[in-house]
This record gives sequence, C-alpha cells and structure tokens, in this order.
Amino acid sequence: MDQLVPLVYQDLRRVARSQLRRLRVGETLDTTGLVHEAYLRLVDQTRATWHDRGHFLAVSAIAMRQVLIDYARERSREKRGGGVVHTAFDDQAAAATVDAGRLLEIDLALEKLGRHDPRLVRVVECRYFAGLSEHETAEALGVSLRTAQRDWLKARAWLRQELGR
Amino acid sequence: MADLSRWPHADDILDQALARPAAERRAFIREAAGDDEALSAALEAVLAEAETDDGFLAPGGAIAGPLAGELAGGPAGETTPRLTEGSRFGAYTVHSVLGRGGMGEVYRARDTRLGRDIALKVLPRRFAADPIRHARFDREARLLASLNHPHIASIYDIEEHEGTVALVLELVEGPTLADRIADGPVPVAHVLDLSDEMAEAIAVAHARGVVHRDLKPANIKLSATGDVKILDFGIAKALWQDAGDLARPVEPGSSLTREHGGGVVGTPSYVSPEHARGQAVDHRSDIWAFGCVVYELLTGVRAFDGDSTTEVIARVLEREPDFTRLPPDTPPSLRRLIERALRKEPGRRLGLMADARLDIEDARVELRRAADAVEPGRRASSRWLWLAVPVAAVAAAAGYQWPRPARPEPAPVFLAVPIADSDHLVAGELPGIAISPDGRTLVYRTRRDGVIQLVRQSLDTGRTELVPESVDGAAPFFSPDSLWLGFTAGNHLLKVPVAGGAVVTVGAAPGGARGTWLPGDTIAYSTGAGRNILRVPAAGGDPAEVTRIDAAAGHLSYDSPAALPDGRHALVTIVMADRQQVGVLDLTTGGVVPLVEGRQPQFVATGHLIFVRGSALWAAPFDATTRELRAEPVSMIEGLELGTLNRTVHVSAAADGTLVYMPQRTGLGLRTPVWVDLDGTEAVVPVDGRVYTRASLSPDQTRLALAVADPENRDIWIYELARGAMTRLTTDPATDTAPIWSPDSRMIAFRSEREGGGVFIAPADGSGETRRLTSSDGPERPAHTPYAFTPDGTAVLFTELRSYTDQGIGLATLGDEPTVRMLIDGPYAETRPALSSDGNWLAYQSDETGRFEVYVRPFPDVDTSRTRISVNGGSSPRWGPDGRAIVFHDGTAMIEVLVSPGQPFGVGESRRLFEASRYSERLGPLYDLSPDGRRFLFLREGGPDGETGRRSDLRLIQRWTAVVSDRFGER
Repeated sequence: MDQLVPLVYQDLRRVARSQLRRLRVGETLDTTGLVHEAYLRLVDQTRATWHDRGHFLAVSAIAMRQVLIDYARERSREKRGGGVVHTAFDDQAAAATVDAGRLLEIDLALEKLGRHDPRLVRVVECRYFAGLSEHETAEALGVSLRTAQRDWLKARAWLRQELGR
Repeated sequence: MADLSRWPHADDILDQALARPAAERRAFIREAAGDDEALSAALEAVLAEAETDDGFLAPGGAIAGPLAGELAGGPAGETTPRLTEGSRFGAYTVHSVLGRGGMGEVYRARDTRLGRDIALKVLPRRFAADPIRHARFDREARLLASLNHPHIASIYDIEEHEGTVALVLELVEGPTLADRIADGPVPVAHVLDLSDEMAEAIAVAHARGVVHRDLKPANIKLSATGDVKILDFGIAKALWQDAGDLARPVEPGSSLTREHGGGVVGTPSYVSPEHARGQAVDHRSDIWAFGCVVYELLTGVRAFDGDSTTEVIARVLEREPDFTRLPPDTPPSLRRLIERALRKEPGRRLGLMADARLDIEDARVELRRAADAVEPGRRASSRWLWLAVPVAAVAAAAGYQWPRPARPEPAPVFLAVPIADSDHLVAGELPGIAISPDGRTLVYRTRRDGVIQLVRQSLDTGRTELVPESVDGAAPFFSPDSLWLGFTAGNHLLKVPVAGGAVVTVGAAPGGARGTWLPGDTIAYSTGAGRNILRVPAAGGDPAEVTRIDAAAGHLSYDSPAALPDGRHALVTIVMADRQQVGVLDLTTGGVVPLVEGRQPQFVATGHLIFVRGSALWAAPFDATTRELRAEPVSMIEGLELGTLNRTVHVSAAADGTLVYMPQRTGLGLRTPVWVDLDGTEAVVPVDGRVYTRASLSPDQTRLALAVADPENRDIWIYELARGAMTRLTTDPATDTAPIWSPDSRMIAFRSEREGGGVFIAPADGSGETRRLTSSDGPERPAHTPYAFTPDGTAVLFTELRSYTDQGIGLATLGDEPTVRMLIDGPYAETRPALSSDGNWLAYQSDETGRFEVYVRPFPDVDTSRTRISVNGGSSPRWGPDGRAIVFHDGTAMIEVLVSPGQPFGVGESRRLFEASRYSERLGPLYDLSPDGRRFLFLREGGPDGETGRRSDLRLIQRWTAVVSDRFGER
C-alpha cells in the first residue's frame, strides 16, 4: 500500500491546499470531499490499481499525515535557506509553530505505537489526520465499525498516556 | 498504558462494556477483569476516552489547527457583519433576514428615499477593510449594475455604512425555480418559456462578458408576473476575481460553498465538470448549469444528485444524466439542447447560450406539430441570424518591441520578459520554465483562463503559442538541437516538435516527470512517485531505472537530472534526510557521486554549473570532462521564486549564456508601516514594502524596530527615521520577531525560536550580546512574545501562547539572575499586556466572556482587583501618556476611554477615534502609540503605493557569465 502514497501525496497536497484556502474560521476540512476529488483525479490519470474506495481512503490518510508532518517539520526547522514563507501575522505564526510542535510530538508517539499496534496508528491517521468519519475509517481499514470505534478509543487512551496529557 | 493486545479477550470486554450504560461500565470491567488490575486499569483508560470530550485528538484535529491554516496560506478567517432588524444601514432600514449564503447575509430593507423595498447583501468584512479590494469590487459591481435586463435582477448600488459594505439589489418577490420544482415537473410548454427567458438573459450577460458562475434553481426567481428573474449575476466573480493569486478552484459563493459552522450549503449539483476539477470556468459553465436546470424543470429531479457532495461530484464528472427520465413529449430539439449543454468537455459543449434559443424555437415548432399530430419536420433554423448577437471581442494583444538577443555584448543584459495579462506564471512544485539551448525559444508554465498549460514564446518575434496537449503540463525541457520540447502532463512524459506537430508519449511518469534530454536521443527523468532516475529512448519505449539508491550514503532519492555533454553522465539532485546535494550520475554504472551542496543543477555550455541553494542561484566554473568544479561556487541571483512546499526554483539556461528565471514575486503579505493621526489620516513611512509583522517605535522616537518575515528568514530590523536607513539587528537562522523597546530606547526584547524558543534581549545598536530572558522549551512548546517593559526597565511582560484560546501573561526580570513567573493565567486567552506610564496599572485583553474585552488590573499585585474597560469587544489596549486614557480596538475602530486610576478604578467616557477595521487581526491589531499619544504606528496591507498584486514576470539575463566571471578565483 505504501508505494501508492507518493502518488496520492502530490494530488492530495494540492487539493488540500486549495480546500484549506476556502475555509473560514471554525470550519474544518471536507476531507471526504478532498479525498474523493483526489481519487477521481488519480483514477482518471493513473489507472492505478486501487482495490476500492476504502483502499484509497487508507492511502490518502497516510498521505495526509505526511503532508502535515512534512510541513510541520519544515515549519519548525525554519532554517535559513530552508524557510517557509510565512505571510501570517505574528500571533498566527506563533500559533502555527506551537501547533507544528504538537503535531510532531504526536507523530513521534505514533511511530512508537506503530511498533506494537500498527492498526491503531492507521486509525489515528484516518480520524485525526484525515478527519474521516467512523464509517469511512472502518471502510478504509477493512474492519467492522465497532472495531474502528474501539481502536480509536484505544489509540486515544494510549496517546494520552504517552503524551502525558 | 499497558498494551491491551496482551489480553486476547480485552476487545470483547471493551465491546460489552461500551454496549452498556456509562454508569455500569466500570463495575462491569472490574468484574470481567477479575483481579487483573493492570487489565482493569488499561480498560478503564480506554473507556474514559469514550466519556471524555476535552478536545484531545479531536477528529480532524490535525487539519483544523493554525498549522493547516498556514499550510493553506489562506486568510485567518473572515467575518461577515450581521445587521439587526430595525437598524439603519445608510439610507436603508433593515427589515428581516431573507437568507444566508456563502457570500454573506441578505436582508430585506426599505429604501427610505425612494420608498421601495430592496435586498441588502452584506459582504464579508475584508471587502470593507481592504481599500484596493473594495475599489475593485466597487468597479465590478458598477459594471454589473449596468447590466439591465428584464430577466436579470438588477444591482442598484453598493453601499457602505460604518465600515460594512453591502450590495443593494432588486428585491424580487415570488418563488424560486427550486420552489417550483419541489411541486413536481413543469409542463414542457412552460419549460420552453422559462428556458427561453433564461437563455435570453444569460446570452445577453455573456455578450457583455459577464458569467454567472452559480446558476441554479434557487438563484432563479419567478416574479409576480411569471417572468424569470436571475439573481446574483456575476457576483461570484466580482467577489473572487482578485483571488487569482490564491488559485481557487471553486469559488466560495458557488454551490460548493460552505456555510459558517461547517455544513455544505446546497449541493454541487450544478457545478460543471471543469469547475469541479478546479479548471477554467467560463461562460460554458453557465451553459452546463442551464442544461441542469432545464433537465430538472422537465423531470423534477436533479440531473446529478447523490447523498453526499462527493457522490454528486463523482456523478458530475463520470456519469451521464438519465435522459430516459425526460418526459416522452420532450421535443427532440430540446432533448438535443440538454444533451449538448451537458457534455463533460467544455470544448464539445454548446458554445453560445444564444444558440440555445434556436433549439428552443425549433422545440416550440416540434411541440406544436406533435400537438397537431403532424410528423415533426426537419429543422430549418436561420442560425446566422442569431449569430448577430455580439460576442465579446477578443482583445488584440498590443505589439511590443522584443529585444532580440543579437550579437553578444561584453556586459550582461538584464531584461524583463513581458507576460500577457491573460497569463499568470505558475510557480508550482515542478519546474515551470525552459529556454532552448539555441536561446531562441522560451517555454513557460502559465495559468490562462484558469487552465494551467505551457506557452511557447519565440524570442525572435515575441510571439506566443500554446503548446499542444499541455494542459496541466510542467517541467519543460529541450532536446540538445532545440528541435524538440519535452514536458510532463497527465502522469506521462511527452514530447512535441518545437516547430509544431503531434505530441508523442515517451513514457509513463507517475507524479510527473522532471526530464533532461541526453545526447544520443535518450531522456533521463525523475518522477514524483519514484525515487530513482529513469531512462527511456526519446522515441518512446519502456523506461528503465538507471540509479539504485545508495542507502548507505544516506541517499533517499535522486531527482532533477540534467544532461552533461559527454552523454555518459548527468547531474542530479541527491535528496537526503536533512539536506540536498548536487551529484554526478554515471549513466553506465548507475553510481551517484556528491559534488556540492545544493539542488536543481544544470550544466551550461559556457562551462558552468548552475544550481540552487536556499532561494538563490549559485554558479561555478565546471569541467565537463573531469566533472569537477574549477572554482568555489558563488551566489549569483538572490531571491528566486520558490515552489511552496518543495522549494522548486524556476530557472533555465541556454548554451550561449542566456538565463531565464522567475524572480521572487512580491506583494503576497506585503505590508507598509504607516503613521495614523487621531483623525485616522495615514502617512506612509518611506520603507520598502515587505512582509512586516510588527512595528515598534522607540520611546525617543528616533527609530522603528520592524519584524520582517522574508522567505529566507524572519529577523528584526532597525529603521532610523531621520536617515531612512534600515539595518538588520538579528541574523539567527531561527525566527526572531515581535520586537519591543526598553524605556531608555537602548535595548530590544523580542521573541526568538532559537534554542527551544523564548524571549531574548539585545542592544538595539547591534553591539553586545543577546541574552535569554525566558525559555519556552517546555513540554507544551508554547510561544513567548514580549509586549512591554516595566517603566524602570527591569522586567518584561510577555504572553505565553499555548493555543489561540489558551494564553497567559507572564513577567520576566532582567537582573543578573533572571526570574520568570506567570502573572495572569486563567483558562482563557489573556494577552496583549500594556503598562501605564507610572507602572501601577496593567491593561490587557481576555476572552473570558466569549470575546475579547479589555481589562485593567493593578500592577504588580494583579490579583487585588480587576476592572473591565471595553463594553462591546476590545483588543490591543494601550495607555495614553498620563495614564488617564486607554485606547483599544473594538473590531472596527480605535476607541479611547478616559480612566481615573485608583481604588476603585474609574472608567469614564469613551469616544471613537477613527475607523480601523483595515488593521484588524485575529487577536487584535499590533501597533504602537507615540509617547505623546497623538500618533499611531500601524502596519497596513500592501506596499507603499498600495500595491498588493503579485508581480508576474520572468527575467532574462544575456551573457550572465560576465556577472560572475570576475568573482571566481579559478583554480
């Protein structure tokens, strides 16, 4: 599955950016719409072998995590010559920096979690990073709704403890 | 937490527990877990998650935060003002809300002068706040107002009232077509009448160059007389026409717009396929929507529908509507009209709305004949009559003098390559420009009419042509003989003869290709999806991997190959975890040897290597035989435009030393410091427009400290007002920002993200060392931003930001042993502290009531009392010179409140100083106040001349080697 991620990555990033731009305060991303838009493009362009929509959702969720984490990394590194153009105002930039730190922390914890329960990581990717619904998450991971719900709680409990929140 | 997978039955227990009422779950678990306390604890922790909603890991949380907002580069958010019923808006009295849409709220109101009812459409605040946008919108609205047609609801006026802008629209009473359709299908004869009126109105608007962009039954009303009235013509474009730099694939205000609160408004049922794909939207999208509406009128159901947005979009893109649902008495011409209006490809779709009226005319005849039981005759329309409807003239491109690159001059020649107004250069994540080796042809990537494509420009004549089949094309490159152009589009590597001819597919390139044409007619390229360099015969064939990742050397992937003249080697970018290097690839062995730090290399036949570091183009003399640098590289051109995420630079060199590149585009986030008098009059501080985020006036009023967010780095600069000189104060690679002055004007405290982040202090003249005052390197990794020194200069008040909604105010002392403590730290956003000149009172803002209000507390004993200063919202408080007045921003204006310090703290009269919504920011404007309280220092959007548009051109340097040759100390 992972070799499909780069394929989705570009598209998802582009679509995500354009979607995010349309948001206003208090709104969240229409991730399903986003993912579907990317899906349509890809099916159209690559004739890649997507087993089904669930498969695509799962790949997209992984890619979504990468999109955000890559940016968070770039954002928090912020070295000369490796900088990101921040046009945000000062408080926004500060909040984004704090946010980036938090995401990286979660990312690190997920790596750890992945060593003993990779499925829980997938659930976090679907729910937290891609904003998929419980049903979509179940579809993406090919598990029952109940399992998706249960895994989500387990993952949250584990991360809460790990992050000391 | 213990790993639950240790207990095979843990999931069962959890499921059973979750199925029970919350109150019984714990008891159940303890019983099920028996005396296994570890299991019981682990299960309880999981159950607690089901019962906790504290925002920790909220679904979609990662994509709802400030980081995602910044990644999008979008606005922090905008608000639409709301009007209250019975209130006055200029000459209008507001009656009631008619509707809420993506673009704003619509009210029914009465024009008291003319004694008629109208509709008021209130626009988002930023239209009022931004004078340029406002002016542009104003112009557009006035153009729309000239669109007088009986079937188009008129725009009467554009009205501004107390910083709020609203459109004054014709109020059309009566049901919409959506209401009508809800009652069931409309009889064919009536559909023909309605369609004809719609087509007439749309055709007239199209002829004037106005596209609706949001046609749908809910936007079409039936007046009292039964006439069609189309609402909101052209408003979507007027509102978003300045969004070109934001590349909005689907404009807010279209059917895809989301309402405040997150729900999708309506459906995308009427969105054309190209619109849904984010491609060009022109008048043919209206024709599509027209087809949808006519279909729906006839059938009573939507042409494209589904349970979710995505399902609808999928149908729009992939499925044909069910034409069998059209009523049997639908005339063939009408059927054909719908079919031709609903063709997925705009190029194959009905091209002119006016033509629809011919079909409708024919359909009427057919319907009549069918009614007369007469065999429908052949169509006999006089199409040419209708073609007399004026079509918007194609603007002739003004001829320009093209400076032909003629005989070489010893000195370099710098030229700007003019780009047509209709073209917008795309600085994407794949290279966007190429110059042919013979220097006669330039290819660049542009967005024309919303479609990204490649344009070929002859440098001899200046003439431009679209490269065929280059929609969404990128990464152009030439064959060594300049006869062929290679590029990538649709996940393929393609080539086309420069002189014109058919496009040939060379090979597959998932994620796009960055190619180079090797001597001997093969092409090497990297793809967006792969990690290795591929090679394929230029004639086409199966690509083969040339490289193997040298993981031992830390290489992650190879990218951006560039041919070397021997045909056996190529330059590549080596991507490593923390850096990128230019390497030399041996095409025979597949080995890659690092050459120099940098990326995107190119060999130039003048014997130079050019490559990129940061956003600068570097160059070095390069021996193509030994494949070694002959001198240390030097930086040649600073400030190239960067692809947003992967920092692709757009640069290309011809063999003769002609170089083309895309300079960094200015204008995005550009701001200018301005003095603002108490009456609101602005005077520009004569500095270059840059991305300033903070401006702070020294107490002795001789200098400004400016936080500058350059693409390369964010640092603090000092501007001397008398001399007009800018000097850089901080140079650390990490962000330095938010400067404030010490009372003696000698020190600057600022926020830095260096070494874990915190508040630092440094002498303002650049002498002496930088000292740390606070450290924000805790587990929460907050941001510390200084706001004020105490009057005696011994301590600094700062804000600790953990999130937008969780901020507190702290105090850091400067002594030999600095101390840091939080002063005010409730579970709210408490920020923007300001001290009175005697240092006895602290003003700040807090959102504990649900919105920001300004409060005052005694200082330093902040807990002894608290007085609210603002009534209807307040942020960014500042003290007047004698401590007897506080000024703040109330969301739209600067307000002054008279106060009498003491116990109790007295709050007196307030007055509005000047309109200031243009300076609004999320937490309130960041500004400074002169010591006499008479002058404000704000940051205004735009450059000194108010320009906000991004420059869009290319630079061309002839004989660029002359620029650098004297700088190489050749080995």
